Amino acid sequence: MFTTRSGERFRIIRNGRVAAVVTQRARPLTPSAANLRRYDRTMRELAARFPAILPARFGTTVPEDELLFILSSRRASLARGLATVRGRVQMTVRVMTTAAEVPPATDPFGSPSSGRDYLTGKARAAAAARVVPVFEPIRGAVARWIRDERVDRRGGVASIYHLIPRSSVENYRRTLNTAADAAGVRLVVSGPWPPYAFSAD
Amino acid sequence: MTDVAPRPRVQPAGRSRPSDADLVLDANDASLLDIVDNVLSKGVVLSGDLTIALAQVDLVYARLSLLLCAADRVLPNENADLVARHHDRRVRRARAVAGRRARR
Repeated sequence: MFTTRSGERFRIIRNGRVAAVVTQRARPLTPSAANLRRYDRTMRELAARFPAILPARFGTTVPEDELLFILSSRRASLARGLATVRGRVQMTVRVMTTAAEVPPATDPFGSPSSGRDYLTGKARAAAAARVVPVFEPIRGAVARWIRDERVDRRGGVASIYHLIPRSSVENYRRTLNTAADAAGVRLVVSGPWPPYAFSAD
Repeated sequence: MTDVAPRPRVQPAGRSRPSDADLVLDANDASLLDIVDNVLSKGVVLSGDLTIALAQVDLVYARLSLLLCAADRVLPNENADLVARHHDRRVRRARAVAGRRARR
């Protein structure tokens, strides 16, 4: 049992080398701005306390029996995820994109002649969706720190999530902004965050 | 690691009327935007449907909020092995049930 700075009490439920950090609630949290900010503050405090965490999505509640089963059945994948994020943090970069910068996606359903062709087409479409041409020269400048990357495109905004060493945050941020200035690219970088984008299987 | 996410660095717009880029990238609540993006659309998903948790307030099992972290480097003196205790309880319960059946 331990108590965070905000007064929340948590306990540890272990399964081998993986553990769940849990708290009990009478009812689920509502996703208000205040609760979301509080949740993020709690995650930051836990990320500072433990060398590796995989944050759960806000509002995740499970019965204890189910939790034990999950820890047991997913222990290997959770352990791999924890090893990936240990000592690392998430940086988030948001870049405006235009229709001209979106590479033409291969239609994964366009008359595949075989199952392999179908899956290959889907893989190509997924890879194309991760390309942000305007960001490519900037990524090259910070590639040395990137352990993993996720890309999310919604409308005209590309959100790029980088998993980098905790000790490299300032160098990463300085190099990224310098490269963006040089390339004339408008972007916003935030972080460091707990590794939210790298927690799902 | 800082406790508060640093304010986003904003490039000067150089225009009198805010563009879509200005509205997205210069949002005063960019920090909340990041938090919403992180905690609501990212993270480990352990139950497929949150409405299950909302619809069934089970008072026997206390509902738990959850996140995960590595245990091997955490609390070296922690000895609350709930898995082992849970297993022992199930074994005792199974024996009790078997005993009752045998007496019938």
